[in-house]
Amino acid sequence: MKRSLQRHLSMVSAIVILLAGLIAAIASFSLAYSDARELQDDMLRQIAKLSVGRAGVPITPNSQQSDTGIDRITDQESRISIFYLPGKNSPAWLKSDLSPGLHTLDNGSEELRVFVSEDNSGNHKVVSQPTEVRDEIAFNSALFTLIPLLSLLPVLVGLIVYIVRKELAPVLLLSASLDEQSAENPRPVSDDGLPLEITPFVQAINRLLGRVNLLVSQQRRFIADAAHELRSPLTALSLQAQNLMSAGSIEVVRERVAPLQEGISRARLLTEQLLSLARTQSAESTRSGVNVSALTREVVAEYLPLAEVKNVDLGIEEIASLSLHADPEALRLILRNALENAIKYTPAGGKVTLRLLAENDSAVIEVVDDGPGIPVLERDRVFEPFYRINGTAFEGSGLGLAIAREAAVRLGGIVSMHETHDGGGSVFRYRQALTKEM
Amino acid sequence: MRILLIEDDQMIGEAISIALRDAAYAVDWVTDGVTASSVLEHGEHQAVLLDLGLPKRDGLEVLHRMRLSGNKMPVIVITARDGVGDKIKGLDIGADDYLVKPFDINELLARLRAIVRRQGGQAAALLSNGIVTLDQATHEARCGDAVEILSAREFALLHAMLLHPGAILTRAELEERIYGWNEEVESNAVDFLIHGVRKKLGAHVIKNVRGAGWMVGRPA
Repeated sequence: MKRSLQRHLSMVSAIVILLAGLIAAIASFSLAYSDARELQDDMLRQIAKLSVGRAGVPITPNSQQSDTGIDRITDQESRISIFYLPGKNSPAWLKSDLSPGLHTLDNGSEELRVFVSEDNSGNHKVVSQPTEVRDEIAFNSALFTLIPLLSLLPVLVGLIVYIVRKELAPVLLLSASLDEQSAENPRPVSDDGLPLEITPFVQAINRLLGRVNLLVSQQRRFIADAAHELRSPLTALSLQAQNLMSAGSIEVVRERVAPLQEGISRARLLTEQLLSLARTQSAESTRSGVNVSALTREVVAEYLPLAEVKNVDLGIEEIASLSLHADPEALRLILRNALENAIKYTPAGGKVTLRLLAENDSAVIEVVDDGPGIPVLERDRVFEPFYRINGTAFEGSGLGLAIAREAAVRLGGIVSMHETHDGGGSVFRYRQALTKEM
Repeated sequence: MRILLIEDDQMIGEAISIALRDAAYAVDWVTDGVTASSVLEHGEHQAVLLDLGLPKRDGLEVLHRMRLSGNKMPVIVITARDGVGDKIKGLDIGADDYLVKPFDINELLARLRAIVRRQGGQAAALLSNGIVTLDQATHEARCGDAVEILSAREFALLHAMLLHPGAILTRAELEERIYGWNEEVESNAVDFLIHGVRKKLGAHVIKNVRGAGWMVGRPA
């Protein structure tokens, strides 16, 4: 499942804030709570001290007087009571032998916090307060310290969510603008206003779009070229068929059937080459160890009849024994098209040689001809589909070398065109890295 | 009538040549732009069929040079370039018609007849001097009550003469309009053709001007 960066960031930050807030709240609560209790202990101590100031004088409290004596003062709200010991009405739970200081006692119905002080005459004064009341006060005051923190937490969480959303908004905009792009002609997206971290990503997308555009336009041009190229054989066919129709005698019909058959085989060759190119572009390659020498001999044998018809001397020059890890079909395609091309452009009496050599960990297969050669400026372009060197009137699909290049790309090799050492003719070269022991 | 075919594709060139010869045209065929330009300078032809994608010099360039030098010969562009822009460019540079490959040969022939007619200032497919009427589409010649289908060469001969009624055409001029470069012409071939036409339509159709050549009468 894909995770939303925005949701994830918001959630993680919110959780962190809430956890931190919770810990801070617990800490501040417990600190405030224990502080409040200490404060209350101090209060008991101070009350004891202040009432000690009146020692010797029998206290006659007005606020609260039990009928049993004047040794007990109780404040109604805070429920602080002062007892004098020994006294007639001192409660049973108050032992007279209490040591001075703070104690927590149980009077049977509730717990009490007491402070015991002793004057010079050995009389005890006890200030008491039920712990329940103390706890409640401490709890309340500790609770109050949490108010600012707890009220800030949701604000913080909201703020984080808002900031994350705002910071990620350009990314959403970016994806929206990519979504709006037409598939036919995607334009590069602008990286204006985008965070520094996202810019490389956008640039990478733009580079990819550039490559896609290039490929699309190449494919488009190829289709246009292919349609254009199909027109010539079709034109020839339709004209040849019509000429057949208007032939007056059976002899003329015979005469005119031959060019029609040539026209048909030309159209067939072109469609076969187109299919071959399409297959080469899309096929999965199945690689195996290929004995290049054996393959070369096979292909040369295949083209020997054509070479003989054209009176071209076709031969092999094996300088190195090569073995490649390759798709034999793709390799065969490269050799066939290179050979066919070389034989086609070599004049009668010429020579075409297939050379196998090893060069810097690479296998090199060369097809050397002594045809007219290819001008330097056109050596790369001859590998483009349907490219024909200006001024040549040779018939052909114009796809042979393009197919060879596609097959080479599939094998991870490189095809190139060069001139021969003595300058006459051209050298087709296929280079593929030699793999280590297969 | 003599046509210059400029086409680099061997098969198409051959097929068009055959079709044009079947239709009684004399055809000269060149396969590159530079040769085409130099042949056009001689002005031996009555119409040009021009392919655009030519080696050495593009067809449009050939056309442009031709029009710049004041050559008004009718030109039909035959090409696989079918963009509207290409057509507009071709017509603007000076093509008289534009035919996209693949095309029907009958359409090419009809268009060829049409531009040649327009060149001669006629509107219909019938060519006439008032005595003899020639249907350029069917090769049917009519003179009085006689209605005859002429052979390809006979048609070419009569056609050449009817394009300029009242003008004397020499043997050489007639041969040039009837035969292409690589066709062998017998010394008395023109006489045979004239004899054939006279036999079919009547001797008065073609007048012999002794020592000069032949002509058909001007319309009355």
